[in-house]
Amino acid sequence: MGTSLPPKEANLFKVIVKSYETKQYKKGLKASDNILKKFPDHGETLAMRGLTLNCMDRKAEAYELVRRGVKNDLKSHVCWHVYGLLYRSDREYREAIKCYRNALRIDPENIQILRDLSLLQAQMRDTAGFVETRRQLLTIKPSHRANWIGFAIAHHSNYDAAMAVQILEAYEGTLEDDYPPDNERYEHSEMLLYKVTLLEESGAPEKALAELNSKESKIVDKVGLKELRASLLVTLNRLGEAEEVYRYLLDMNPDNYGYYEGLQKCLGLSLQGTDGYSPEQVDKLVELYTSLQTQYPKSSAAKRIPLDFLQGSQFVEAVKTYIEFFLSKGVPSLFSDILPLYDQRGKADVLEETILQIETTLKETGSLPGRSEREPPPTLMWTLFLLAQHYDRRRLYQKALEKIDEAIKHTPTAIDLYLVKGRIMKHAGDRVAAAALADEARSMDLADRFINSECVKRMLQADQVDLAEKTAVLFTKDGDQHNNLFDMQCMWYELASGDSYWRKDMLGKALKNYLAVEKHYTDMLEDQFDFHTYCLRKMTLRAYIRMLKFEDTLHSHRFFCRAAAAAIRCYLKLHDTPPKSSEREEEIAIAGLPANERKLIRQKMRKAEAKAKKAAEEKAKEEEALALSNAKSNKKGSQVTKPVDDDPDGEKLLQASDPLEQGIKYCKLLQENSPGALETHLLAFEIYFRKKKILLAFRAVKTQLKLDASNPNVHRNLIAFFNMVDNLPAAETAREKLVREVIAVERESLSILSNQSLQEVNRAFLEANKDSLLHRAAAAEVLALLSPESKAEAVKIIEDSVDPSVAAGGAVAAGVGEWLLKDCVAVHKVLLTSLEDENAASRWRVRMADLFPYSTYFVGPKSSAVVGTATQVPCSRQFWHPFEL
Amino acid sequence: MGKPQDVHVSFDTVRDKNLMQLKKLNLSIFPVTYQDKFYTDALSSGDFTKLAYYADLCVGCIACRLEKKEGGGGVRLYIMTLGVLAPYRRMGIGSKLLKKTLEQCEQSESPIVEVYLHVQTNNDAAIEFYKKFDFEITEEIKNYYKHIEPPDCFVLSKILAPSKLRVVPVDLKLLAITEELEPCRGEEQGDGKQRAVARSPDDRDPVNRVQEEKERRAFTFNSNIKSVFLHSR
Repeated sequence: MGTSLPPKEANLFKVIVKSYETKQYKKGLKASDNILKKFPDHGETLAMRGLTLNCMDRKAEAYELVRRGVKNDLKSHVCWHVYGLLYRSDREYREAIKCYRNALRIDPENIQILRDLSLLQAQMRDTAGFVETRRQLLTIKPSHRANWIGFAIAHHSNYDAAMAVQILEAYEGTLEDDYPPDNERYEHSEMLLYKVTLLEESGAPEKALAELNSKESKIVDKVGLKELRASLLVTLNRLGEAEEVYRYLLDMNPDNYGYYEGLQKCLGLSLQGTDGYSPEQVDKLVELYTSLQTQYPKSSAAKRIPLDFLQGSQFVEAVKTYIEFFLSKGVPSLFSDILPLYDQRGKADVLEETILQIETTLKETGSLPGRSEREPPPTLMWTLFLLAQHYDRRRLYQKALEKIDEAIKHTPTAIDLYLVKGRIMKHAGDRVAAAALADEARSMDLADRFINSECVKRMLQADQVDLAEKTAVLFTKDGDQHNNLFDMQCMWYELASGDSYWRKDMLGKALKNYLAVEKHYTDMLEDQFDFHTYCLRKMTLRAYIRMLKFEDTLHSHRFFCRAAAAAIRCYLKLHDTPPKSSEREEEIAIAGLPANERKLIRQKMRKAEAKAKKAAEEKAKEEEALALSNAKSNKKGSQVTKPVDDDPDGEKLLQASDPLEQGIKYCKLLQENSPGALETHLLAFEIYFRKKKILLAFRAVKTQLKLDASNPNVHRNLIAFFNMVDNLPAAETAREKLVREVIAVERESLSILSNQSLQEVNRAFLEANKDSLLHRAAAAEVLALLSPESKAEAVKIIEDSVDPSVAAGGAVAAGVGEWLLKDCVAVHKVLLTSLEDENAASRWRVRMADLFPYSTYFVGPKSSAVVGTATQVPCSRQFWHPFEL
Repeated sequence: MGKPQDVHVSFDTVRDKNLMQLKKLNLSIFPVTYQDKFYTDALSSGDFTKLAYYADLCVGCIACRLEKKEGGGGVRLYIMTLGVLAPYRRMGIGSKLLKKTLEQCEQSESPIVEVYLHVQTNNDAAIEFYKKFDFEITEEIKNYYKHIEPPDCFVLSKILAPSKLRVVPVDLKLLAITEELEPCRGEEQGDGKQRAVARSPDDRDPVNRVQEEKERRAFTFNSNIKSVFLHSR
């Protein structure tokens, strides 16, 4: 390094490097000044100076200097390395890899560069390159433990677990017998466990088990060891031994569901397929869990699991004991614990009967059914609480509200009651009342973050964004809530607030929120970078591999899907109804005025603009000064002042030149990561349909058909697509002709069309699904699309729909209408916007207000839209005032 | 439901973070809507306004106001409300609240000389309840209430025995008594510091004080007053 310099300057160069490493950037700059005075073109100095400036937030200068440095000294690995570091700091990993490769061409054995390169390859999942780099590192320095492990990991990530095992074995061969020393026992133990999992993955469970047994004394994670052994024994079908291990584990933790599952597997009692357990299995299970319950009387899991498989009278008995125990104990989360039982036919009815019986007996005798000792007063309150949630799940909102009000009257200070009442109101369709109730709950304990958050969410759902922001800010740190919530990656907030802006048609702010969520996922992807070194050093290998797998599927997380889908919808809307730019609006406004006035107004506007600009500049200066003084007062300088958001309302996002193109960006992420979700392809269709990308749109329709051919949206897309194709102008270019031919061939092969006209297909679809509201709405929409003159008929299709009653035995109470509020809202929107029949829409509203009396959307007679929110006073009584104050 | 003694009750002071709990309790227990003044008084009484928790549920409260006695001579404690939610009565929670408060009076830094309250004349249960704690009817006020029958109320009062120390004129015994009081003090103040027992300048013969108190009450009576109910059903 710095070889071409005379001794004095060479020393100065070393100073620069040292200063960079120790973060004394000013010192480094000074030294570089001194060299550059004599050798203004010295490449390595220029590059290092650039790198130093990069750390001082002077990016533009940094890039220019480093590039000049590289240009002046193309043969220097220092320059290339620095160039790579610069790119890496900006997360331009592909460019950085190129630079490192150039550096290595000049100095192939530079360990520092090789290590940096390997990190980038791990990050970019360039597994072949990763293996090669790791191999070189090991060859150069085989004495280093991390190099062996790194090489093994590289092979593992390159899907060669067997090779990874061999490498770890070779590494073990280099160790002394008395290895590990006391201070490295954990690291060694993790390495051994990692090796066992590798053996299992490479399809050698016997070897894995043998290895586990022979190294038992050196493994410190005793629980992990037992769990691994148990699962290996199950794989090897040595069930008796496995059972022993699982029983041992249960003894340690009788509330781990995984252990119970394992134990059932060992006894041949695991669930096969979706048919549930056979009667013989159930008998054996009953026996098993009865003995487990006596063995572990305090375990909730042993009591809860049987509720899943018991049927008939046995279930009645078990669920009664279970519910009574937790009611008496006063466990507010009881309902969410038993909620999955509602999905099993018939169990909801049993639950209803059981809870009602408890309620009546408590009210009559003060004791639980069949007992003599009196229950403490809260038991009745918790019973009413449970009953309210039960009725809520059965969609009997009126009854649910009665019960929750009774509970509130009993103990008006129990906060959970208000939260649940809010939830009931939300389900019933009254979000305003739900928000008011959540706020009431919040007011009762201002120090509870959870309740505060729930309240914020309800407010956002009720579109009270300002209030929600003010409430959220009570629990953020620095008072600047948006930045803080963003920094905390508080995604539920961003999604809920985005949804609210979407409903209010404020697309800029909505997009801003959705894109913030997307940004969090990019950040999470970036965050793994530090762990490539950290995990190797700390030897947390199993966790490291788990993390890598997690990162690979990161973008399939539901929050990301929701945000991406919502963002795409925003872009679609932007495309359909582009916002008017303010300038054009002004032009239109002044167009009608005489010329001289127009001139005057323009002058005025220009002046105002200049003034505003000046003010903005001054403000920026002030802020800068403030930031500077802050930085000075904060001597460490570690806290970088945050850049000011120059687009807080997302106005710039609205000005995107091609919103569909933006949408495609997110659509591709969805297609890659959530190919199994219908929504992905519905959105893809919407985009490509508008872009007139016929083949891509058709691909989306085809995938939709494969995923769910009977879905109403799929039907709508299918017909809309072929309708568009039919109405295209005649093909002119060869390419267009080819596309048409492909589509024609594909059309023949679609069985669902079966060579009928689109009208016929639509009629068949309606006939096949005539009992379903959403299908009818889709058919109506399609009918109006195919023949706009039959709109009246389309409206009739919708209006003739009948709400069927739910059959007995299900989660929803028998006799309740099958239609869901959200579907009926969607149908209302179809009538209003797609069929454009305001009369029909208002007829629909009246009809729905009757069906959903609590719905604010349909202005139901019991909703807060009609009765206001002031009806929630828990105990209505006559007030009297004995004296004036 | 067990005997009163079996019930475990814990206490919490009223702060601005949980004030709403007190409001909910008042709304449910008493047929009166209290104005803001009530709550500011309650908050400023500090430890003397308390919530009682049973099985993690807030089920009862005692709300007090500290009143300066005219002409110095310590502080009086006026119990504005004391109540327990209907389903949780007859479990001894009210007694615990009152007992705790009375204990606190003894340990208070500024000497509290009297605890008093108003109760409707026909509310036998409440009168019984307070008598159990050595409250005495000191006065009857006619037409105190405007809208309920009977409109009369009693004033129930308990003159707190000035700590035993005060009747001991000689300092010789001070040491022994300080020791005797120490555990209570440590509990309250937590710093274990030995504190010389505070004596207000006008510490006089307790008999005189009681006499004076009674005289004074005759005319300070019409200030802000609230009813106190101990409902029993």
